[in-house]
Amino acid sequence: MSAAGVYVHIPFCRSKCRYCDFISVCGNEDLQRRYIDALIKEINTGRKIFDGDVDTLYIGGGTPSCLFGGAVRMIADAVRDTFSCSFREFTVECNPDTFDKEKALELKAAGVSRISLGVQSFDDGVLKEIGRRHDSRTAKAAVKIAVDSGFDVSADLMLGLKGQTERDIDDFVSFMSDNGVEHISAYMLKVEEGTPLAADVKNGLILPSDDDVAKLYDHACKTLRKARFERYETSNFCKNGKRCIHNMKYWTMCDYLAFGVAAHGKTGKRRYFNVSDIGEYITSIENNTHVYKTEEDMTTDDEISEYIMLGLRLDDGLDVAELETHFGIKFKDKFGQGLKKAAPYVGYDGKSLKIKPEYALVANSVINMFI
Amino acid sequence: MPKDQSKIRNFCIVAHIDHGKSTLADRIMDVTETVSKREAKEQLLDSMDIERERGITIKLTPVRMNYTYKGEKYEFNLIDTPGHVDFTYEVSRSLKACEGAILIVDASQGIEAQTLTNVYLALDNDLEIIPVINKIDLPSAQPDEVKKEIEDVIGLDAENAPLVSAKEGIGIEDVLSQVIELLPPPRGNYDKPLKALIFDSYYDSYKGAVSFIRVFDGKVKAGDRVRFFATGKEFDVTEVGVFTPRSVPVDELSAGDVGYLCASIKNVSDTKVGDTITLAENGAAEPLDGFKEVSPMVFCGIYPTDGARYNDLNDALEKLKLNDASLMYEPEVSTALGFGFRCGFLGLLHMEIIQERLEREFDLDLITTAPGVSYNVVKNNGETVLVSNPSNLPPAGDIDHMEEPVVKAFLYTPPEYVGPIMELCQDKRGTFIDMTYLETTRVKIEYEMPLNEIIYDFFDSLKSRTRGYASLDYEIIGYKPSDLVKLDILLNGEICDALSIIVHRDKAYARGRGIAEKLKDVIPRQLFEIPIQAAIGGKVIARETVKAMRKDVLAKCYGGDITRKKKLLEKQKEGKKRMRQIGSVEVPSEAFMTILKFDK
Repeated sequence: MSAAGVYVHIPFCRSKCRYCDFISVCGNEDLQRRYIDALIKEINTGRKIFDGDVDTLYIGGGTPSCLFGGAVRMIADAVRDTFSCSFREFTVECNPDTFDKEKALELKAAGVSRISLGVQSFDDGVLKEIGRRHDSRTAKAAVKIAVDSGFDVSADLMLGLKGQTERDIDDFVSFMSDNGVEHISAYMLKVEEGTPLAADVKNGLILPSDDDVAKLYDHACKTLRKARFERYETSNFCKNGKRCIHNMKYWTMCDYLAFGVAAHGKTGKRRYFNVSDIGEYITSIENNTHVYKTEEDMTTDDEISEYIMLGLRLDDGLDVAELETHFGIKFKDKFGQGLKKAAPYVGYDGKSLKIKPEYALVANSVINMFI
Repeated sequence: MPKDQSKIRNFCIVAHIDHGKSTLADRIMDVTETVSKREAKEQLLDSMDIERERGITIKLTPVRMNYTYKGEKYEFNLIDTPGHVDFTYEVSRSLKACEGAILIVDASQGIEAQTLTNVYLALDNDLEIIPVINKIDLPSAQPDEVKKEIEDVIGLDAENAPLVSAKEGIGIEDVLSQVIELLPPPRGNYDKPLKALIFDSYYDSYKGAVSFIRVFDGKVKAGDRVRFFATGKEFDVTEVGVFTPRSVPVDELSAGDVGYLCASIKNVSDTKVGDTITLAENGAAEPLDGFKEVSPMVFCGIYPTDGARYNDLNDALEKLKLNDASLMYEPEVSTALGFGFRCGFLGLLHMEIIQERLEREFDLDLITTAPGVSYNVVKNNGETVLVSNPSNLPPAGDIDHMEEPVVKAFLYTPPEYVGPIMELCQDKRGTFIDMTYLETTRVKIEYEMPLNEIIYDFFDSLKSRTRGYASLDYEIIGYKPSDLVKLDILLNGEICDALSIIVHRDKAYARGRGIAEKLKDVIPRQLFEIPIQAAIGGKVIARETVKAMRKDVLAKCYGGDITRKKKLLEKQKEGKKRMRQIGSVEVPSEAFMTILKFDK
């Protein structure tokens, strides 16, 4: 059985971006310390839910780089102390405005191997509009520091921002490629309910249409391919085989443990997620009460459809052979009708099932033919 | 024993929706101590949810009440009436069962369009009418103006009209004393052979079909053998009784009485509204006049959204049919929609009510095809077939000509809307017949018009063009030759039989274009481009395109997103259940209904 990944959620940001619907607050150091204490306490109980090996750690947010100095190390140590660990990958999400040489050294010393930088765009007007705190100069500097410090670096690119052109994408990709970045996550902007961006849209902000976003995405794929970034998942591209090992666990039904407010974990058939209110989270832990808001045991059919849903996001496709062994089913028998219906949109060789690259953006419709 | 008919009053209440018919009926029952208020609510008027919501009465519930006036005991029979043109014939039969009517007019709103049709029907049936001004407790009440309006518009003397607040219980006694003083008692002959009018019926699982009757002459009791004129069938009476409003058996119903009759009749279609019941031996020679065989005029296909529920739909229709002789249905198969039923209705409202009851009372999800009428198709070989489903139309080459049902439409309107109404009627292929000023404020316009045009968007257009002031009544006058064509809709190159309609050639182009445009909005984008074409024979007359979907995927799919995404997919799947696969195209069930609503 493959080793599990650990995800830790940091719900703090210096300010909130207009499109973001993650759980985060602009907390002061006091609150941060109480939260980290609670988090470590939760991690320390982790063996109750999982006693296997852990080989990836991913600290996401929020903005983990805005934590007080030493916090990342405290978290990493707690994970190391609790589980049988040997990190093949240890990622921390950072924002360019809170990532400098000093931070890089601190993270390096804590054992971090990979930095995921929320760059999003090099257009300063666009960055300002979506509420990012950095400009393109800061972002470029942060990228260089991260690469120079010896981290594997991933940069986020956002698609579908107002006024975004193909040229912006080209500039972004060529800078990253020229400066040693080997992983790019290109996310199409989604307007989430309740965010300031959703209010902007309601008040008349016009964002690129789905068709326009699809065009930008196609263009990004082309440009990235030219720069030798291969797509391995709907939104993720890498060079030299530098896939994100931790994220791959989500898509191949490996186990992942999750700590922190609103974090989602999965061990075997069980999914759970923690309470999503920071105050409630901290007090629950301080009072030694349960922080799971929900726990559910998936049925085998649930698991199978999840496996298909996630596997079809991958360019390697759904590992049909693995699915058949794991669940003791014959894919062709169980999904014959889906296969027939999906035939124009997928490639199937008996071992893996792949959505044809040109249909990657309509994966949901294809997935629906199977579940 | 002959009854003293001078102590009987049979009457109904005529009112516009919301003017307080049910409340006044409740009050009258309070005053006559017929039922407790709570019981009245639960059992009485407007017993079906749909009726209450739509403010209309479909099933007629007669109630017997006792009232003492000036020391004399009187017996009242209050007969309720449905209030819609689909049920005009039923209304006319229940009016025929009465000698008088109470006309309620809202003191703040005055006379409204829909009131008039029934008032005229009541006058046609020689009913005495007592105008009553209701809601006088409202601050906006203008009883004097409303009285004047009643006199001007309807021509009734409203000088002594009782001022009532049914809600507050004011003036109810005045109404009852006028019922006694002004409405004539029945004048039947106890000794003549039995003549009883059926004005409604319902199905009771113990008693069989129960007829609501008004006895005009003679008498009837349990044990009598009776004959129904229209069907010629004979039955043995098992029970006669009255509604209080619970059914209470009585020994005998005789001239002047209103009540019910049971005779172990298995089928409500044997108890036809308007039919006359007489005794099998020494019966009347002639029935009461005015009987009409009611036949469905509007047809549509009804299919379960989930094909597996075909049998449930069958059972549901069977149950509704028990109580509704005018509902017709027969199985049919559509290549697009699978197994379902072709159903026939009295009119559009009747259709909507049945659909709604199927969905609510039987928890069915339905797909309904565009309503149409039935056509006489005369083939080249001289044979005539009746076609109510466009898919069953013989090949164009075999058809000599087609005939469509035509109605005489009567429109009542204030004069300022004459222009817009005539324009609408011309547009609906109407032929002008006549126009008369009934009063200075009321015009009656007569048109001959294809029924097909009336069921298609006519009411909505009429309402919007006349701000609801015009009312419509129509009667079928027969079939007339017409230049009709079958309009097919092709989705991705394949004909969708459930979307085919029969339409006049002159209208085909506009309808085809309209439907294609509408479908373009209703059919969601799919993985491939979908051409939508409207065609007559093989000739395409309109085309729209649903572009291929470009993006539906979620950008991020990590730990917490997975559950969310799964929920989203499940929701999409749920939505899919409401979709029908037409060839390669998924069509939402609304599509089959929305195509009939656009005003050109």
